[in-house]
Amino acid sequence: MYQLEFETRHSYSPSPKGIVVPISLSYAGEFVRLEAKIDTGASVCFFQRPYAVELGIQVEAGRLETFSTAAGVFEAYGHMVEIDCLGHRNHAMVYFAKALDFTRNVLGREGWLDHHRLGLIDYQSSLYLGT
Amino acid sequence: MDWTSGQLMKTRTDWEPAARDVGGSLASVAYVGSAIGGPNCPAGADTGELFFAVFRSDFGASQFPVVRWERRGNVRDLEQVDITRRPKRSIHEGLAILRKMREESLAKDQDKLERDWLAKHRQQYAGQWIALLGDRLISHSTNPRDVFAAARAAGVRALVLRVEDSELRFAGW
Repeated sequence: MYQLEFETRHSYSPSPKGIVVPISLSYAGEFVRLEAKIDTGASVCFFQRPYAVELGIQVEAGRLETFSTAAGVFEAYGHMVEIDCLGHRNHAMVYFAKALDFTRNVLGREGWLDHHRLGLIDYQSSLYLGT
Repeated sequence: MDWTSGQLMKTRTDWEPAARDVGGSLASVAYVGSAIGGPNCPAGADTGELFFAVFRSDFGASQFPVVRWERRGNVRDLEQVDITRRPKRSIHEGLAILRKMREESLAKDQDKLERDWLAKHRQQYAGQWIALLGDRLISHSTNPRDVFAAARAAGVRALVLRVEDSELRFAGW
């Protein structure tokens, strides 16, 4: 038997849209609140470009990378921000989509999952988070 | 035992045996005496009277948790009970715990109101950007810049997002 302990328990909506959690991003004193999907299959964290603009980030000054998905490829710029998810904060390189019509906000492995311990009981819509 | 008025004695997890019989409400912390302040603080002298701050978990749209003080006997009675006590906390530590609990309650309540609002209005605003604070819609537009500007002008830390079409399921990456 193995046992893990977590500081936070969150009940998420049992939605077909994925496991969505409230988060905030901070950069240079600016702050935005948004929702993001937890996706253990995503290699990094992705966000829509308007959030970077609101945070005062010069999006195209970041590190441009190309990412592959099941449906093709897309480009995004990397920037260091602070992520706060359910009171658990960490600094991380996250990526803001180059395309303005990008519709996803995703917490992936690098930058988020690799900073926290995550427990899921999906049939109860329960998420456990620890640092 | 040297009990001080206003001293935080136990958290719920510290003092589980007594917390069990509080009923449907959420018993959060226990205080000795009356020197902890606040409009709803029970009156009384430094007599060793023990109070529970009972937070109702269903405070809903009021945005403020309701605290009810319950007399729970006297600390001298507890000393006869075989329970393991952790080190005593100062009043400042106790108040910090209360503040943190209140902030967490407010955040959870706000999150629930926003989720309920989104579930109810998703179709109506699908494809638009919205700024939402609890169940209050601050702005909506197809232009995110307008929505962020409205949220800034309102001076609130609103949830800002583009409402997805509820018919489509997320396929991951």
